[in-house]
Amino acid sequence: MIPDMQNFNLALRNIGRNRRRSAATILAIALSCGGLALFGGYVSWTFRAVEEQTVGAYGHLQIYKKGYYERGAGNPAAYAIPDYEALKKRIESDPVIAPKLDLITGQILFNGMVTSPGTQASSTFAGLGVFPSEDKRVTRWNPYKISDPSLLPINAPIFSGVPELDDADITGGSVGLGLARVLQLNAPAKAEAPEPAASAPSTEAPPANGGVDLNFLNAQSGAKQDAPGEKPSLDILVAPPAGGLPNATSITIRKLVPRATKEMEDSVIKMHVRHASELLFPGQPLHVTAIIVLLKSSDDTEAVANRLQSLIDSEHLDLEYRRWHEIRPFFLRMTKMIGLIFDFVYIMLIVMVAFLIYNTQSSCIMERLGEIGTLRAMGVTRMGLWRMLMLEGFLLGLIGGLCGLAIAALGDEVVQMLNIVYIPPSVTFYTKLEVLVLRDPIVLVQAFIGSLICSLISSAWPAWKASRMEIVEALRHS
Amino acid sequence: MSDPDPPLITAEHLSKEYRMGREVVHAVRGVSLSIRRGAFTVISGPSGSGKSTLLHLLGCLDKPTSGSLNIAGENVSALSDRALSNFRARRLGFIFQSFNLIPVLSALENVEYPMKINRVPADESRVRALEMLQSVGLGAHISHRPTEMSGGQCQRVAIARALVMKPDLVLADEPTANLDSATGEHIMALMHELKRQTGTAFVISTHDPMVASQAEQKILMRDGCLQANG
Ligand SMILES: Nc1ncnc2c1ncn2[C@@H]1O[C@H](COP(=O)(O)OP(=O)(O)OP(=O)(O)O)[C@@H](O)[C@H]1O
Ligand SMILES: [Mg+2]
Repeated sequence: MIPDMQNFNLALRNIGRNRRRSAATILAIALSCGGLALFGGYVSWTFRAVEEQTVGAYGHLQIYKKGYYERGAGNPAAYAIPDYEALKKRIESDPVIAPKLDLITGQILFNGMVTSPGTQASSTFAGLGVFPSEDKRVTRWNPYKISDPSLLPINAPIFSGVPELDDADITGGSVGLGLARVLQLNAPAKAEAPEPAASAPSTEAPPANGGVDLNFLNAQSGAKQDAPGEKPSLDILVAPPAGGLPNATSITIRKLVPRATKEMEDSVIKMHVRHASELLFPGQPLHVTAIIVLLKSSDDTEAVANRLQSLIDSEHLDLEYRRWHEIRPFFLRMTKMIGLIFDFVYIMLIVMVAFLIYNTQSSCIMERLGEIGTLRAMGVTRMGLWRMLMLEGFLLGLIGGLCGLAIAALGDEVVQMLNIVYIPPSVTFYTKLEVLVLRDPIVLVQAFIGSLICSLISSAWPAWKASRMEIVEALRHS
Repeated sequence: MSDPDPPLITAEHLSKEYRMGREVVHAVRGVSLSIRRGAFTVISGPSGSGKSTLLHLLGCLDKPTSGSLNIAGENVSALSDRALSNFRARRLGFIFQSFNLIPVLSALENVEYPMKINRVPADESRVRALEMLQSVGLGAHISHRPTEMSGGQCQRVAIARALVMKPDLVLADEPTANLDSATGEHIMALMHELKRQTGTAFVISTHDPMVASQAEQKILMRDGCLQANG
């Protein structure tokens, strides 16, 4: 009814009337909004970090021979995919999948026995054959640009040194730290490590320039050259698919490495997929047990899965696939749990702020009953009065919310600067804590809209009461 | 209508009862009266006699318990709250004992406010408000806030605000009660002058014999009843 800019101006002046009370309310809204956004940013970071970690370990989709996922682990040979190269080309050229695709690679997962000829210690192990450079790209999948643990200085001892695998080094492999302990690799490896190319004479010096970066815990971040030379090796045995004598080979140890999980760290030997294929299927073309599909965005997982299903159906392929969160349900469980906690905190804060605004607005209106009566006497309608008072509440929420956004943005920067590193559960290296506020603006929007809705809801009742008041009754307070 | 000059206000058997628990307070009992256009009417009577209540009824701020009220040809007792609001905005002006200016607005903005309610274009309302403030002798105080003005100045602003929409009727409940007698006399003189200039009818309630003595039409209330009308 009244031109809006003037109403706006009047509402602002009314907010300015009791400065201290309005400031306290705005501050409370700002802190809640900022806190919510920061918490949301932390949740978002957690989700993304776990998503990147999971996708980095498994890809978005894994394609297997039918039955592999249920029964194949015990007999990978029987469930291997013999025509990997052709299938890879088939999927890569699919018009639906191609634009969403980042990379297709293959892997072989198998079990075997490993013996360290140096120490005569032996153990069962899980072998993982991969295409080294493709595997590295999968591991480094980082669409959200959250900080890469491998770049953190504190993780340097773990990630520095020679790469785990190398495309050219067919027989090279890397051993999980736990498994290395069982095989007693640490001590002898250090002593045995020959230094053919390096001039450093002292055996006490960390083999930073040596080919074998076994002593990684003490490694300096120095020159990392992949000098060929005689490296400590392991003998491995696998049961052949056709029965009979076990196939045997050996790998040279390139590196001892931590793994994403303790379980993996205690069991996994990673090697070149060609070496693994040759071990399991000697003399045959390259086999894999899983084709790994890495997408540009996790959001496309379902679309690509559907497409794969229709390819499998229409071309009668003897294949099946699993999505990343089916392979590792942890992600869904965790997001569900943290999501619930977030919702809980969100609602608690909203309710708290709503009470606060309700309180401010109620006392604000109580103090102005005479004025309200006057406005009504002059002909302001009930609706007009209600809207005026709502506008004041809305402005409180708006100003508070905007301050909250600033607090959240500042908090994001501060957390970045503080460089908080810690070892999250189920991971074996440091991670830098981040809150994705600026990089995931949806949390800002969420918190901001929360403040606005909250201020509107909690103003509605006092404003309605005031607008319904008898004019004469209100005027009595002037 | 056959009457060549119909009265501005015609009230018939207006009553207002308040319920206080079991008790019923008859604030106004069956008042019938009529007020001419452009009249200067004063309601007087002892405290608690129902002056304010009657004024509120005439100002459409309160609904009568019974009776009918016609103002400027409009049967206001039949109007909805919304229609009454619009009616007040266009046809009525109010002056209060404690001035009731909007504290966050300047004198000028206070006078502009009724025109905002009536959607008068901003530049026109600015001109009219300035003229109005000049005619109440406050041309030099337009940007003062109510807290920066004396009671008499505030009441002048309130008078300007009540008259700026050129209403048919201005209702004033004890407009001089919060002012010293000299200022009260100035305010009364101003209202007389503006009434003469604009032809707006004034209905004023008061205890003050000085005010009552200036009436063209006197209404005397006692115990909610009209005791004399003339
Ligand atoms: N809201 C109300 N509830 C109950 N009784 C009321 C109410 N308003 C007024 N009254 C009663 O109605 C009667 C008339 O009141 P009113 O205010 O009209 O008197 P008045 O003539 O204006 O008095 P004063 O000169 O003191 O202002 C009084 O007895 C008063 O107690
Ligand atoms: Mg009174």
